[in-house]
Amino acid sequence: MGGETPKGHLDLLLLTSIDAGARHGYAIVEELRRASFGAFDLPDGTIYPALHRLSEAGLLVSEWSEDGRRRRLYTLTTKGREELVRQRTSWENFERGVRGVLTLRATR
Amino acid sequence: MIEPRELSNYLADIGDALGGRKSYRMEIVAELRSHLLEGLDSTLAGPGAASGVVARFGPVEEIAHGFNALLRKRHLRVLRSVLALALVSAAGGVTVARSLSSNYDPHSFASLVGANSSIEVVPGEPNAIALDAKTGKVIAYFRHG
Repeated sequence: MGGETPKGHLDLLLLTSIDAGARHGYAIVEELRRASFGAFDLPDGTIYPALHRLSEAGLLVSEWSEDGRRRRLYTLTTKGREELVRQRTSWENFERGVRGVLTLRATR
Repeated sequence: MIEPRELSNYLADIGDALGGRKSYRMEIVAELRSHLLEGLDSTLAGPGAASGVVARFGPVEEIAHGFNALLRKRHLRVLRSVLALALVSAAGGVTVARSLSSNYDPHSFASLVGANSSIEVVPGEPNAIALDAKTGKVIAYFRHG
């Protein structure tokens, strides 16, 4: 999404990326770009306010890591995992609905 | 690696555009610096490398806007707590205290509550809200600097 990524979708993408393991911001951006085949190409810096917002909401925790380069690593909390499941389910339901409508149009 | 001047200037601009306490701003800038340097490592060296990394990161205003919006929401949450405490004091004069995050900036907080004469903003240690049971006044303490 070179244009606007609705805040709700960005949260789902960030939580999903971090679910795989502790990540710092650069790794998250690169992973989203790669996994989406370039479809999610946000300005790199825009994820940081989102990461901080998710941390303040108790969905993520973060700590500085000092292995060669100083990086802030983010990890999901239990509450974050629950929210990820909730958002993923909501997205899958939405996607199923859209696919159903598109299939309907295609068969006419 | 020597940090390119373009990166340093860009980060300084972001730091200047951020609200909040100096320590908070420095933490954010440090995190963003780490990202930019990582980006530079992954880019082919040469003129324009730093510009490319900065352009990819996004406009200063957009980045700062995101963080400042968070800060405003935080301030409003604290303001609601303070006003709730004021109501509690009016009801029963109970002395309560609550710790505040070290990210609160006394000046912007004071501007939010300044009109309310029952709330006093005092520089000092630690960051906290307390209620003076005698006077019913809510006092917000902030660290210096």
